[in-house]
Amino acid sequence: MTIKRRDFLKIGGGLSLGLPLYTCISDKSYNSTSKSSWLAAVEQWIPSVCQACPGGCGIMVRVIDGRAVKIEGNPLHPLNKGKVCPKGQAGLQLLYSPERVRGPLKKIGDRNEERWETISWDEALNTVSAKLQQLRESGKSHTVAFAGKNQQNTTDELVSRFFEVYGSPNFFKFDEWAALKNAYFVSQGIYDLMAVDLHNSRLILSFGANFLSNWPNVMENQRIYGEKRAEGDLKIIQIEPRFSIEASRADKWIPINQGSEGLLALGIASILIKERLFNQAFVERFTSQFNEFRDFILQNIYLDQVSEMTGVPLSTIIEIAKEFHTRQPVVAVSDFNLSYSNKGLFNILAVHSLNALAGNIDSPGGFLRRRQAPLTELPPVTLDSIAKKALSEEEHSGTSGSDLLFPSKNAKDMIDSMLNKSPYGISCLFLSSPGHQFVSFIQKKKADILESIPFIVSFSSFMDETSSLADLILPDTTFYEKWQDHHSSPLSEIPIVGISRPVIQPLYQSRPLESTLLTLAKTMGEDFAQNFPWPDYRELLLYRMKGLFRAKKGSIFSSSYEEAQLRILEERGWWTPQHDSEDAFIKDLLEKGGWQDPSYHFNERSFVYQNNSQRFVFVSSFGIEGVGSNENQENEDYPLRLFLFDLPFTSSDSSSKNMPWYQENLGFRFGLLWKIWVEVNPETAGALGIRDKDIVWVESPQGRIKAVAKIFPGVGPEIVGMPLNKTEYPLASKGEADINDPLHLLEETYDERTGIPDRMSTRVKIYKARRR
Amino acid sequence: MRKWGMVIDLDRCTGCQACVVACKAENNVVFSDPTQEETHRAISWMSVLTVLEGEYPDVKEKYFPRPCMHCENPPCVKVCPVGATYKNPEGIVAQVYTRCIGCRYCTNNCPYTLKYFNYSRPRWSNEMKNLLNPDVSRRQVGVVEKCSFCHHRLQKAKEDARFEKRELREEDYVPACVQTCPTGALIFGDLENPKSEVHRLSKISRAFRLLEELGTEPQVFYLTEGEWHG
Repeated sequence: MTIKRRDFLKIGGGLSLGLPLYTCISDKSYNSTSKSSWLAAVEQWIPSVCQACPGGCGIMVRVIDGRAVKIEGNPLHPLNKGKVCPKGQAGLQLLYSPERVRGPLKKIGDRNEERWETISWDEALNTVSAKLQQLRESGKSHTVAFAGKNQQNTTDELVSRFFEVYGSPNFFKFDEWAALKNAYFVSQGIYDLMAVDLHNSRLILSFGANFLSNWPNVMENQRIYGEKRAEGDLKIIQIEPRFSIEASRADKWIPINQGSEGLLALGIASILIKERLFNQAFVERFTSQFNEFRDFILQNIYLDQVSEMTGVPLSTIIEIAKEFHTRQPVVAVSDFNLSYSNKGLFNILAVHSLNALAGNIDSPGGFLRRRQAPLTELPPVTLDSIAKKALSEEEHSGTSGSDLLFPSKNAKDMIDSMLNKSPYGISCLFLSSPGHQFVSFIQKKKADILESIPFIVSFSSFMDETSSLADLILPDTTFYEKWQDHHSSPLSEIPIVGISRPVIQPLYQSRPLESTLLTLAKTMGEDFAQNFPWPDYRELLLYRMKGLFRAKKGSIFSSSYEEAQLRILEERGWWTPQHDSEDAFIKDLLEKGGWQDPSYHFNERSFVYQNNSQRFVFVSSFGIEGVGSNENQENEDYPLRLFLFDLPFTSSDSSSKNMPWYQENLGFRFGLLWKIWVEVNPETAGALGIRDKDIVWVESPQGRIKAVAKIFPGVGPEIVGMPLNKTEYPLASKGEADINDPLHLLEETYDERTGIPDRMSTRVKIYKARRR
Repeated sequence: MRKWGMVIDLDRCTGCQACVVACKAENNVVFSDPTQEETHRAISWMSVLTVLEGEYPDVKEKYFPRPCMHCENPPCVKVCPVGATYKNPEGIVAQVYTRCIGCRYCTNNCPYTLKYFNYSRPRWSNEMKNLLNPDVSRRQVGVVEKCSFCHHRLQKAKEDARFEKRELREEDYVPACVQTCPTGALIFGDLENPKSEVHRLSKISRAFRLLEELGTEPQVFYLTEGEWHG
């Protein structure tokens, strides 16, 4: 190797500068690399996709001599345009976490203990393959289950394909947005999310929505927030029991009794209807059952009652309604936060009905529906008789036999039905990062799970709660070490496909989940393997990507100027090819990091409304009785209501505890680094004799946990707020960090219609703890 | 000569912490542990300060991202007995770790309390040593450190410009926090250049500086929030 320019920089630069740089200084403590060589370091910037959250922002990873050292945003990626959130910035701590599982592990001895033996990949795969084949031959393939989280990528397709061919209907994906999808299904006939056109809307009426911190498209929303604040053409009203980050950025924060958001929405609707302040043209053309809705509201909704039950002053309700009418275009947004209550679906439907009244569905500045990216579909599977028979078995949804209207899969129900063995027992369970809620239930029921499920395989990359359950760990790599695609969340109206590629070779003996599955498929016999003809996962991805080339729309990531030009052309029906051949297209795709289609086509009615009437359906027939009446209001033993909230950028991911840089900043509003806190109103604290930073116990009938009291005027006197997903140790091994998980305090109540756990109605008391 | 400075638009800041983490990742700042939290010895060159005002339900909160102010008239430089911290010709208050004797005069004299003393050796696990940035030194116990405006990036940009035989452009150099800021609240550039955005913004009526009355003349300007914040 010859000496390059960078060498001179190393030698000369380091000495002459104020800051000692590079490896030229011999003192060991100044060496940030272990390299003793004076040769130039090879620097690369590799485009990839961050998957630390479901967002999928484009990133560029700086790799020096095979070490990934820094992440910056990919400026061409339409979602984040070169910016990265704190979780993404800390991402490399996942890659280089000391908690990584180094290779396949087999549990030895007692299943309740954690004693591991290192085994080879061959042995591990043979064990799994033998087990799967044995179950299949004995006609029990349907008793195999896979639990993972909802991901926007081809892995999902691969896993479901694997289990379809194998013959199991039990592929569980946990989706925290399920309640919102249910709501859109009821009102518009689509089981999907709607995007919010924040760019063009002038008022955001947010019912507890964490659109600046916890949505998958948060980077897009942050950028729009910045631009619109600078222009001054934005108003945000945040309606939420607690003074969240969004509330602090809003023009107005309106505290509300938790769980009564839907009632307030109906109150606003009643003003709009009585004063005829709604969009009559839209209601006539695009909605159905409006008359029933109107009659229902006029007969049942009294504003003074609404005001009393929600705790929002009458004048404020009227003010919001007026503002909602005058500042068009406007959006009324809600998210999964509303679904964690026993009236979740009702709340979300009521909020969404405001959008129909304003006529802002499928219109600029309102709610839009994202098109699917035109990826090649995988070829249809050929099933053998075993698979066909097994697939006809009832799905182990965890909700069988219940009369829920929308059985959405949730962690608690699924685990319960596995433990009750109804409709049948599970004989083999695969776990692949199923999310925080699932994990917290696992911890509660660990012994029962081990007793009723004879064989558990974890794909976890880290030693954590799911891996502690497992009989066998087949460590997946992190997303930095494998090929992956990522499709943008439907919360953003642009279809985006990001390509994530390995920025370094897999560390230790870890192996991508996708290759493990493909390898397993090949061991399962010829009929099985012919459904998986791809030599590796990369080939499978490229096979799907070719659809983007053939679709004749959209383009590979390009500059803002080209993007705008393309949008204008495409919306007028033009499109020009940029590549001669598939190969050239794929090459460019990998270089730039992905594909997008910036155009949006309005007025495609059958795409936005997929119910029979092709109209928005107002719902008035269910869910309203008993709303807002705070059932378990009086309870002398537990006088306070517990309000659990997600911290920024955490959403459902349990891997974030392996990112200390990110974790230590979550308590920045309270100056706390590594402590779980409980937010107490000054008045309440005064009455209980609790001072700021006192250590207190927070106790519910389900248990108690220790926390630091923070006196915070951002919660009402009857509420205490606690964060979820905050760890108390810089690096959490073996679930230590989750001992103090506020989820353990929750009472076991659920939304009557969706079966989603209720986070809102648990009551607690707090009292000072003796220090140590 | 250039004078590098920053403008922070409080209207745009959402307190998301991206700047804080980007800074740590760029500058090899080790994460803290619970003991350091107890003793207030955690290091964070960039922090988001919060100010909470009002009583329930009329609460307001402000976020102030706070890097080193890179004062025109830096109090830390005046007290340094060994010249380990000095004002360089381009306006950056620089820190030479090898000269520092750990007397902590500067940490005590900084009115913004943004200089950090290394009370203990940074604890990097062997795995995490891999993600250290080779452009920035790791610190040793007993030296003071602080925000350098990612000075190593300036050096690199200058080298690149020299290699390409051209003048350094203003946009060639941005600190890590500015590069990652999702809302565009952090703006960086040459305060002396009348055409630059930071120059313009630093002169508008919304601009102010922290503890201006002390006469330290920070090169970091803040823009107050608009009417929406009340």
